[in-house]
Amino acid sequence: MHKIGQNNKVRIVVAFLVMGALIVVLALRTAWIQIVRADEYSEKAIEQQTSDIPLEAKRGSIFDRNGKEMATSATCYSVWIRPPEIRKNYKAAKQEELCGKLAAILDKNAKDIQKYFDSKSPLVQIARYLDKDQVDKVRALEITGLETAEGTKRYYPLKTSAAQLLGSVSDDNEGRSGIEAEFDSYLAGVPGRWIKETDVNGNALAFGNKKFYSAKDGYNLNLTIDEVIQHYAEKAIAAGLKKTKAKRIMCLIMDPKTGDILAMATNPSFDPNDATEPATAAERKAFQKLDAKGQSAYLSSMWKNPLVSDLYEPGSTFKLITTSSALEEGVATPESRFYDPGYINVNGTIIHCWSSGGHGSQTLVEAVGNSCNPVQVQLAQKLGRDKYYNYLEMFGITEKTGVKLPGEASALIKSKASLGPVDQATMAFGQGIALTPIQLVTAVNAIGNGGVIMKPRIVKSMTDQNGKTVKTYSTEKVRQVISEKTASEMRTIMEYVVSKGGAQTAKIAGYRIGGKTGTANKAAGGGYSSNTYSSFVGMAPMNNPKLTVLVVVDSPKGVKYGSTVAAPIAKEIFSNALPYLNVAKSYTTQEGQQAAGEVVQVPDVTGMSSGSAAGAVRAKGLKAAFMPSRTTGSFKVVAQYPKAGQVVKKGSTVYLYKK
Amino acid sequence: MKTREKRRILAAVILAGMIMIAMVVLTAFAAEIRQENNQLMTKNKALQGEVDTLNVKIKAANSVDHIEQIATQKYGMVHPSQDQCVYITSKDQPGQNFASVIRKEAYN
Repeated sequence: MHKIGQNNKVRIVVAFLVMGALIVVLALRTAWIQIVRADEYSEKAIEQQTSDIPLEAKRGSIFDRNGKEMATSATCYSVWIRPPEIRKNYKAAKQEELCGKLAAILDKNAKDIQKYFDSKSPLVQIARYLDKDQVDKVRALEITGLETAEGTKRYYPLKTSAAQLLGSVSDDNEGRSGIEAEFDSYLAGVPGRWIKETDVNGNALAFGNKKFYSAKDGYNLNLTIDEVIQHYAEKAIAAGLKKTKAKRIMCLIMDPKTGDILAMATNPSFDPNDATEPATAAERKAFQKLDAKGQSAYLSSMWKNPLVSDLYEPGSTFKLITTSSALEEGVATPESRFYDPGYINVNGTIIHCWSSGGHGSQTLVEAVGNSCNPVQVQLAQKLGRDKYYNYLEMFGITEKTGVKLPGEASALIKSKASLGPVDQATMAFGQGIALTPIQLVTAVNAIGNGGVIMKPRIVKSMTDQNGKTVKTYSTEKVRQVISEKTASEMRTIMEYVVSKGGAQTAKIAGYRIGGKTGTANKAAGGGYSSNTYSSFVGMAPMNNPKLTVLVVVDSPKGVKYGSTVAAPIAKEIFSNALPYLNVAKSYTTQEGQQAAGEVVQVPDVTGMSSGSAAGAVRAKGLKAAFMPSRTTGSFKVVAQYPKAGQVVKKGSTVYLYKK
Repeated sequence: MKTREKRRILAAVILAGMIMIAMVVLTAFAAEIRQENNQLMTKNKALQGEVDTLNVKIKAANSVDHIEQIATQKYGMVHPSQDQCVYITSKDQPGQNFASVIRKEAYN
């Protein structure tokens, strides 16, 4: 055996002792860290490794009564830059190139992006609400100092339709106005938390601790709004606004039997997808010039829903309330006769009728059809102040309707104690009293519902993300305000107003439409201005009312009567909405005879030149329209609608197709 | 030490070594899978976001206003007049094949 020399033995022992000493030192150091300073290092490790990530709850969607989405949330992206890092990594020429590329992707001005690059701030947002395509293109540029972040944006697929009703949300997805604000606590849900131990890149450690608190998504709302009827209302008031050059037009459509709000439209409107921008270019220009306070006031006014928040003097439409009250109290019957010399003397004050010559002798039905002011004054006088105020209360005029929308205003009515005879007289025909459009329609709905007032309903139910109903809002009967007999008499009167009275511009052959027009001067500077609220409230079909439509035209230019500016808009709405609701036409004998005398057979113009075809169509008393619209020049007609031989009314349009 | 005992010790050392290597490999594999899982979750979230955004575009395109615009301006369709609307109920019975009647009546 080879003997290990003495020196080697010593070296091995020394090496062993050194190694042993080092291990002891290591053990002591480990003990110092793991035992003595364990708490301190544990705390630092938890702080460094633990990430507490908030989990955004999905905001609930808003649907119409048929399940069409009116508001929903989706993922969007924003782009941020760190200007100091950009300037450090890229020279001026390269920055200019990057600005150009970013401007093309983000649809912005390159100079504006350069301003962001030159900013002194450590972190600047240069774009937001981008979709995935855009952000992928930005990421592909691989710019150092540029980051993208994910967020949520609220989308309104119907754009300006029902904007004031739906409202909008802030950048933090909090409801700011309308339904979004009123039901924010239900829509928002509850955010969750994901607590996990992560590495330096934010990835969860394989064996780290995790705690997951899931977010509770917001509830969905199912409104009573019908998207199709809303569309008809929006289309009609948009056309009306162009024609009347009014300041604004409002339209409210309700179901008188249930109190459901089927449509709420206001024009001018705004796009809630971009709620802080006025709708038109001219308004945006004026908006930019305002100071912060002015802009805030402008936006508040733009977001407000005037159908619940604005007061207006209803004018002659209020005669429906006065007449209903008089009939119910028995102070008059539909056959009662009144005489109108053109004015009435109330305690020494002469109040004129709109017809200076007066209407002479007339029944109550005729008086309402003529919109005779002195007759309404007489009805109010016969009722007396106490009873009149009692009916105002029963019709709900003295209190809010309680509709679940924010900012509902209360009516402005003179107190009973201070009401003079002239005040009561003017109130009878709708001046000297101001109420909201929803209050008026809610009261008039009683006429179409057997005398029962229903509370306005805007939300039918709430569902969770799985479609399960969590809350239902039932229809609510408020009170019986007039008897069924009075309601029936009022429906007959309303129908007379449209068929033979002052609202014939709302008549549609085959449909039983009832209503009342109103033209009230707007209050201004302690008196009245020449501007008017011209309105029409209508109901159809009168044998079984399904719709109540109120149209209010604010300050029309030119002709201002409700029958001229508001009633035709309501007629347009009825002509579309009633067929949609499957209300079939039912002609009276007279209407049938009239229709029979005015029909022609459509000529066969297929294959003719457009000019000749149009001539042949017009010769039959019909109108010709080329399709596609805006077609110019002569062409050969390849098809026509209605087809040749079909019997149509004179004045109908024949469409001539180019392709 | 007998050869047999030496072989046993060697085998034990090799086995222990292999077990440790296997543990390391499996831990690395688990970490890799977790990393992949994280990436897939991130990708899934991004795709879900894209689906939501596309759904919004679909809904906007399905609005009554948009459909009416395309139908009238692009395809030359028109609203039927009220006289051209025929109301049928569940009690109505067609005299012949209903689909062929509609087809015959609808086309010029």
